[in-house]
Amino acid sequence: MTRPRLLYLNNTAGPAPPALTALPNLEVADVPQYGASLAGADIIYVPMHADQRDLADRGDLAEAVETGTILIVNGHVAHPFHPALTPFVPSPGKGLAALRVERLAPHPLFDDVPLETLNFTKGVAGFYARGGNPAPSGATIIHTVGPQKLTVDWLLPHPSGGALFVHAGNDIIPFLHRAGALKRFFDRIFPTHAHSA
Amino acid sequence: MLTALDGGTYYHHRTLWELPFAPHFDAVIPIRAFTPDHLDAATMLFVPCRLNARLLEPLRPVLTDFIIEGGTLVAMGETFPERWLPGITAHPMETSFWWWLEEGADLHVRFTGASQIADYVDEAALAWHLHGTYTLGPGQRALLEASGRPILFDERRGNGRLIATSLDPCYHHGSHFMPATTRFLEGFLPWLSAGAP
Repeated sequence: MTRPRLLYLNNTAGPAPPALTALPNLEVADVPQYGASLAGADIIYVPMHADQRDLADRGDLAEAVETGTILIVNGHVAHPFHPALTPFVPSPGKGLAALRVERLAPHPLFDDVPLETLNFTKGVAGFYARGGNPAPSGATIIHTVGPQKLTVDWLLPHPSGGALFVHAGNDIIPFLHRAGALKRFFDRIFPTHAHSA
Repeated sequence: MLTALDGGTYYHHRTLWELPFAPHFDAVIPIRAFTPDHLDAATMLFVPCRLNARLLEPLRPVLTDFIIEGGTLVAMGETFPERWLPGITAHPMETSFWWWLEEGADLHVRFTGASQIADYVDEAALAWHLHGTYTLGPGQRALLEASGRPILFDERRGNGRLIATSLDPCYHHGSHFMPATTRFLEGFLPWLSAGAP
């Protein structure tokens, strides 16, 4: 069985995270963002350091989702590059309450990922999320932050089998990797049985 | 005239296009649209934190000429100017993101007294993360040091000037993460606008 092909749109001077490229259940293509061909990608990973203006200008990410691709978005939305994205809203106030991440309901993507893993990195809060990218209607909201329950992680499925997964914070890979949940996350976000029909 | 390059990331957007800092920049040029003509009117070019060094490497001759011909180039943290300008010796370091959890902890970031930057930037706003130090070459002088090692330096080159730092305040301010970085920019950008005396 061929592995899902993940396109990592790299806009840094370094490589894609080794925790990602080492996964046995993905074929990772670590490519410079500008001019990257989306053809053949089962999953498109947009890191927090992406040039969002460039993604908005190319304008073909929505079409990718509509034809069955999983689009994973990290970071704060500044230049909406998919019709379901609107600009980031910071969590108001200060202190731990403003940064408290909550899980609205259990979700298969985050099975066995303890909330504490997301809330604290070596005892420091705020790495996972400091606000939300507003979720559109029809999205499943998984995690929120702060007393206003701004939407941090949400999933918007498309009838094509594609989906938009949005994480409004630092890249999600290290958090899932630390929880031992990175491989399972990709198994579940791209259920191959659904695509082989 | 202070011109900034814009990498299209969300943190560049917040730093360069939103209040309170947008008014400091007379022109903001998306990196994909940059041509040497954009430097014709610029007296100072600001390369914001974490702009992808791979995009700057092809600009090496243009940026070198800009300085030699009288411009001031400001290279912020994690842009790795040693990759796209000659004569810079940088030493990356492993970053402690938790140093302040220890009572009485201090990154030992201090002004050297070689410039008037201390009149603009509050010393309490100097410490968040360290990403590296420099070994200074001929004509280079340290303006900020961490434990005695340069982290901000300047150099007269030809008719112009290079200012480089390993500090990355634009990234953190633009990410709504670590308020000291906002306070740093509140002093640092006026210092630049005053000609970095």
